[in-house]
Amino acid sequence: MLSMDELKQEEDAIRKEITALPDAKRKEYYRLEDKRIKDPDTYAVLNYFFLAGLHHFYLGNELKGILNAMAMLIGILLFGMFGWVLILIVLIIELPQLFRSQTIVQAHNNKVMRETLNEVKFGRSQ
Amino acid sequence: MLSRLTEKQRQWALIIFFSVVTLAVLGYRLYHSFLPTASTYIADKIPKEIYQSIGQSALEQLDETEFSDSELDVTTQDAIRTDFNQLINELNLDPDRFTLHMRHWKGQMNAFALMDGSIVITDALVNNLNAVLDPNTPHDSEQALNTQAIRAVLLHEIGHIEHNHLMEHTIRVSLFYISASLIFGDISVVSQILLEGSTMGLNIAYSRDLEVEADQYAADQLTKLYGNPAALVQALTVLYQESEQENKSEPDLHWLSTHPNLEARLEGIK
Repeated sequence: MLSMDELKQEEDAIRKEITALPDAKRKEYYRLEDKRIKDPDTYAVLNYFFLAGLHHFYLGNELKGILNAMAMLIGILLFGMFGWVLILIVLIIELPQLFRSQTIVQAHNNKVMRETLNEVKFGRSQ
Repeated sequence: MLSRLTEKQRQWALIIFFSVVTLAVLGYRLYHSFLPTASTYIADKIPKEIYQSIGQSALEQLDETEFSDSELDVTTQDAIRTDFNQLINELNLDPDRFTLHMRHWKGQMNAFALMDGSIVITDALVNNLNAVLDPNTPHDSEQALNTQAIRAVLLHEIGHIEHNHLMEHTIRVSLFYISASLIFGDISVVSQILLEGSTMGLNIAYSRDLEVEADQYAADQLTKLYGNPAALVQALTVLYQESEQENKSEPDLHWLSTHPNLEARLEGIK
């Protein structure tokens, strides 16, 4: 994954393209962008919530979210047997994402912005 | 149904669904497994001095606000105390660990244990238990003391002390509040815990499981002593008959409302 600086540069490049759009298309772009981009703080809070996979749902990764949530639920239910191992694995995988929330959401937003820009420019649906 | 929602609505629907499911599962496991284990561990680590201090303060506070000296005649008080000491000896329990207190509590029929091993029994309970004494049952005719039923009540309270229910339950409730505050980010409940703790746990309703466990302890000991737990059945029946009468006038104020119903308790004893 790109660093935060690289992601910011990528966003700046996309913003320049957006600024160059005709007024009507730019207005349409911002209408769509407002609905699609995600907030890194919300992502972090959802990640903090028992690492139950809610942050994956927030970014639209349903499969990851369901797998994460099921692993947590099974881990909690069978904690005394091997459940704690499952929770530990989830923790090892998911916890770093909490500290990289800004970068992950920035990358997601850049992707969404690029797709939205293409959609507005060329009329291509996602 | 999910297909009818917009992408954003679908995402939030999944987030809410899994939040509720996770909270329910975590809450269940927390309350039934993690908290009991943790509270037992912590309660065992608490120094005896703390138990003594809390128990003594609780009794002093109750003496100041609720109780008055027992109005039972001195002979009856002596007989109960002597029998209590004998009971402790018969069960090979540590006599320094348990202290019996008799109090008058505005006519209320009750018995309870405190953290320091104090057991309080009220005049009304002793009188009501004596009132149902079968004249055909061998007993000290001068005192007409329903020894076995009083022992059953005291054994129930000894059961609470032996299983360390009061401290464990207080810690369990505190841990539950702390867990909730960590999850929901509200630390103001910590101050609430301190306030609740200052009431010495007396106002904390013993959970039904703890009552059943104390009943079982009393039933086991009575069976060892007399071959059956009939005295406990009699004591519980007296308590419930009285509570039903009180409930008619004050349906929301009765202490037994936090206990299992009579049928469930009798079933547990059998």
